[in-house]
Amino acid sequence: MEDLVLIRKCLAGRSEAFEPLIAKYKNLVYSIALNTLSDKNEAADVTQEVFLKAWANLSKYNPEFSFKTWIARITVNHCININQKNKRVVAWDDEEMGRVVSEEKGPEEAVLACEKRLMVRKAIESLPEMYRIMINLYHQENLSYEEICTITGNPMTIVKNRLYRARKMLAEKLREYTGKSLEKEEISWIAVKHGT
Amino acid sequence: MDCSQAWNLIMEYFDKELPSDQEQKLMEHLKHCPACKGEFDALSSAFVEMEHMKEPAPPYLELKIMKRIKKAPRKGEIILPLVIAPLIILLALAALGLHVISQGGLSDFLAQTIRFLTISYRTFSAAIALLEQMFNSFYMRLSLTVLVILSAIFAGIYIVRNIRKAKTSFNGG
Ligand SMILES: [Zn+2]
Repeated sequence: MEDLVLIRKCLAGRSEAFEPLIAKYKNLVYSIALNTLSDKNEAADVTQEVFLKAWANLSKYNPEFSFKTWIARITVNHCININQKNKRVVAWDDEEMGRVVSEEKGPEEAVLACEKRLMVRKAIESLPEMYRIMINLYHQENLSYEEICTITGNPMTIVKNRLYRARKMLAEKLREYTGKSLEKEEISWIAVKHGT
Repeated sequence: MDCSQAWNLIMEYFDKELPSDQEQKLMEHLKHCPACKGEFDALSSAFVEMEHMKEPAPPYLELKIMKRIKKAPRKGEIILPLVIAPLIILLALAALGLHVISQGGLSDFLAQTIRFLTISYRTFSAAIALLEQMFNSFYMRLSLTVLVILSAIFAGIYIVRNIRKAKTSFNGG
C-alpha cells in the first residue's frame, strides 16, 4: 500500500497502519544511525526513537516530500544531536565482522576481505561527520542528490561540494592506508630475506 | 588532460553521469597516471565494499516500536483543537463576567447579559432572513441545484472508487 494512504490511516487514529511503514523503512533508519553513531545498540535505540518521533509528529508531515526522506531527515538530525551531546569515537565490533565474513569465504580470503572492509570503515569513520553522512547517504543508501538535499536541508551546490570533498578525503585516506600496509609488507619481506 | 580535469571526470563517473566518450578519455589518463589510478581504484573498491557493509535492522524492532506506540497514542491533535479552543473562550467569558460584576454589581451584569443576548438574537435572525431572501432568488436556486447535482456525482464517484479500492486491497491481501 502507498505510504500516503497508510499515513492518512494513522492520522485517523489507526495505529496498526504504522507497522508497514516501520517494516519498510527500519533498515534505512537503522543503517543511517549505525553509520553515524558506529554503535549497534545505540543504532537500534535510535531507530525506535526515530519512529516514535515520526509517529508523534505525523500531523506535521508534508506530503509534498516522500516519507522516506522525511524519516531519513529525522534520523540524521537525531544522530547529529546525539553525537554533539556525547563527543566520542566508537570503535567497530571487529570480532563480529570477522565472523560474518568468514561464513561467506575461505579463511585466507576472509582475512583479506575483513582487512579491506576494516580499512574502508576506518577511512570513512575518520571523515568529519557531515562528509561521512554524505558518503553514506549517496553510496550506501543509494539516495539521489535531490533526496540528500531534502534530508540534510542543504542546497544542491553544498551537497555536491561536500560529497566531492568527502570522496577526495576518502581516496587520500585509503591510499595512505594501502601505502602503509605495502611498506609493512616490504619491511617484513626484507627482514625474512636477511634472516633477522 | 591534467589530473584536476581527470578528478572532475572521476566525480562524474561516480555520479553515473559521465558520457561514454569522456569515460574513454578518463581511462586513457588513468593508464598513464598512477596517482589518479590509485585514487580511482581505491574509491571504486570502497564503494563496492560499502554495499556489502549494509546491515539490516534487528528483527524485533517493529514489535517493540508498535508496543510503545499503542501504549502512548498520539493525543496532541485531539486535545489541542477540540478542548483547548473552547476552554480559552470559556475562560475569556468568565473573566469578562467577573469584570462586569466587579464594576457594576450583579444586577448590572444580568442587564448586560440580557442585552447582549437580544442583540445576538436579532443579528442572527437578520442574517437568516437575508440568506432566505438570497436562496429564494432565481439565480440562487439555479446555482444551488447545479451544486447539489455536482456534489451528488462526486459523492457517487468517490463511493465507487473506495469500494473498488477496498476490493483490490482485500483480494491483494
Ligand atoms: Zn592524473
